Amino acid sequence: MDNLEISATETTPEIKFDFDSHYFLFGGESYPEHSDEFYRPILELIQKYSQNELESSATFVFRLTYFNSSSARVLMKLFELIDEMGENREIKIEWHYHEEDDTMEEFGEDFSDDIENANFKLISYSDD
Amino acid sequence: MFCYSGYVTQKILVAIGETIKKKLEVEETELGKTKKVFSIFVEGVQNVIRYSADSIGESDELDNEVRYGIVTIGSNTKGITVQCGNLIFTKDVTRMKERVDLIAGKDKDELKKLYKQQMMEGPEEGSKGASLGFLEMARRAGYPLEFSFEEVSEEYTFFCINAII
Repeated sequence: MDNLEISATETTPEIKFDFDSHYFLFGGESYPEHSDEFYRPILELIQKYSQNELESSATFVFRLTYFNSSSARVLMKLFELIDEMGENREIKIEWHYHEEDDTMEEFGEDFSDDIENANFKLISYSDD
Repeated sequence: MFCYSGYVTQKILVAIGETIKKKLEVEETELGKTKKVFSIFVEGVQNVIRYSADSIGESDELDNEVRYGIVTIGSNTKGITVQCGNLIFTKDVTRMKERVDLIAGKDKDELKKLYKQQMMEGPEEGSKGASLGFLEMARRAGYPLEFSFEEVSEEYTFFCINAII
């Protein structure tokens, strides 16, 4: 599969999928007007990956600093997909949040509650 | 602190949002609080963009339609305030009040549960986009959200959300 690299815009996050190293990154802010339109092809790509690469272990890294409620709904779908993948392979999820950002911390905790088949790590960072 | 009244688009939302973030940064507002103000602002304005009854353009063409609304950001003794208002159809008031009543009087844990439930269920029938917006606003606010409905004519009612962070 061809790697994917989408640069961040004012309202959409940076997205990098490196299929060779099984590394997936989401970073920045997400509040597009039409979240479904933006994320549909991205979710499809992950779905395709999950069906093709049945045995590789994979890492999903989230460094999101803000997302709106319709992006949250998409993220929930994404985590469902990732969790399903974890049923037959090793999956790591890293959720990075600024130590003072209790909203992103809480979202990380909420999403991790529903993950049963992957290793979900909450990682805080500071300005320096 | 800030007031905008006029047609709102996603581009205008981004521009005002950047201004608010800069202003709060200059005032050395804690990061957590700034994020909450920004979140409430985005949900409030995206609600106006989706639902205001006062619009120009074709209502069937999502991207050509421009909706009218009012946004103010300010502060009082309790904290930072965000207010978003727009006209809705008076015939929709009952339905709107039902949605708003679901949130009233709920504590943070109950709001969290409702939020999750709403995420699983998907957007409500006849709603463009997520109905999670009000719940998100309620979860981020420091006090219960206040909603007001003021009938301006038989056809239109002014709907306003007031949040304090």
